[in-house]
Amino acid sequence: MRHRLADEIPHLRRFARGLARDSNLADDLVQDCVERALTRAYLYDGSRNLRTWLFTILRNIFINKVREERTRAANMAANAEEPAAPALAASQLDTVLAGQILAIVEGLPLEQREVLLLVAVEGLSYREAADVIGAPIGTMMSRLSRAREQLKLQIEGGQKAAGPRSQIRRVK
Amino acid sequence: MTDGERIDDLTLHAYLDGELDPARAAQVAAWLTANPTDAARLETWKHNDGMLRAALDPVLTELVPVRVRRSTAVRVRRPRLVSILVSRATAAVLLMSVGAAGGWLAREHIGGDTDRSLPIEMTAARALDAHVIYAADLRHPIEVAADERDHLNAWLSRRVQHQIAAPDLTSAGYTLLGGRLLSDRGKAAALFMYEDTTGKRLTIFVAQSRAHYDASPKLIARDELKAISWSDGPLEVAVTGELGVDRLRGIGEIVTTALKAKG
Repeated sequence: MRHRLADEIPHLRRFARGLARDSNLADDLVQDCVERALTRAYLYDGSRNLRTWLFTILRNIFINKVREERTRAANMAANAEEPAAPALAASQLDTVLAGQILAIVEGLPLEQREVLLLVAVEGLSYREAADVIGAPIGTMMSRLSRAREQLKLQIEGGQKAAGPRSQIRRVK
Repeated sequence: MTDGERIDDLTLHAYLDGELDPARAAQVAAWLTANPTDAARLETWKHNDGMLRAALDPVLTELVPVRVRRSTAVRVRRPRLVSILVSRATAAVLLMSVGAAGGWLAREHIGGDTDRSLPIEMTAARALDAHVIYAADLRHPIEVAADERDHLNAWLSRRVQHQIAAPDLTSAGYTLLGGRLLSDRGKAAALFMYEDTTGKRLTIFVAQSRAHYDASPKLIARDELKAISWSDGPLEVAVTGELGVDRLRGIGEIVTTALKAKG
C-alpha cells in the first residue's frame, strides 16, 4: 500500500492544488489524506480504484476543513492573489492566463469546482467522479455542466472587460 | 431518438467526455455538424478544460515536499481524533480512539458503537479521577506496599472478587509502589500504583465489569494525564499516567496480557 500511495502523491497534489489553490494548504491536505489512508488501509479492498478512493478521502478532508475554518479559508482565498510560482513557471501558457484560470476556478462553488477538477483535469469517468463526491451520476453531470458554463462565462466576461492582452481582474 | 431532436447540454458534456456509447455519440456528432452554435460552445468548454489542465499539470512534475513524501512512512497505529466530549465527572475530556490493525486492539473505533463504549470511557474518567487524588499523595499513595506483593494481590483479588495481580511493568520503566482499595460506584476496585525513575506515577485500575462485555480500548486525556481503558470479559481495566499515547498503549498491552494470565 505504501508504495502505491507514494505513486499517487503527484496526482493527489494536483487535485489538492485545484481544490485549495494555496500550495501549503494543498500539501496539508495530501499529507492528511495519506495518513488517513494508511490508518484505514484495512477498509480498502483492492478491487476499488485506489486513486478514486484516495480522492474521496482527500475531498472529504477538504470539505471538513472548509466547514471548520470557513472564515479563515475565505480570508486566505481573498489574500492569495498569486498562485504558487513553480506551477506557473513550468506552464507553457502565458503565466497570467494560467493564474487567472486558477483564480476563476477557485471562485466557483465547491460543488462545481470539485467535479470540474475530477473530470476535466483528473480524467475520472462520470461514475468515478460521482463516487468521489458521493452523489448520483445525474447530480454530478448537472454540476459539471454548470461548472463549464460558469468557467466559460467568467473567462468571456474577463476578456470583454479588459481586452485580449491585458491582465484581467480576479473574478469573485 | 429521432434525427433533429434537440440534444441537451448534459448530453453534450457527456459527448465531450467520451461517456456516450458509439451509437449515441454518432447522433451527437451529427447534431453538432448541423448546429454550429452548440459546436462552438462545446469547443469552448474543451478549450477551457485544456487551459485548466495546463495550469495544473505542472504540479504533477513538481518536486514533492519532504513532509508529503514522508507521510507514506508514517506508522499506521496512530491515534485518530474522534470527538470532544464533556463528561459529567470531568470538565473537558479529549476522546481518542486507539487505532487500527490487528494485535491487541480488536478494531478501530471511528466514533461508532457508543452504546457499549460509553461505559468504558466513563471507567477511564473514574480511573483518571482516582489517579489524580491518590497519585498526588507523597506520604500515603498506597495502602499496601510492593514489599508485601503476595498479600497485596491476595487482598485485592478477594475484594474485587476476581483473581488479579499487579502486572510487572519494569520493562516499561515503571516500578510497583503498591496498591489500594477503591470504592467505585458501590463496588470494590483495585488501584495499583507505579513510579518511574523521574517520580512520575502511573496507576492501573481494575474492577469487575457490571456486565460481561468486550469494549475495545478508549483513550481520554485531561491536561497532561491520559487514561486508556477497556473491558475484557469480567474485568474493566484502566491505565492512567502522564506519558505519551504510544507508551501508554504499550503498557496497556502488557497489562492486558498479564491480567489474562491471571484470570
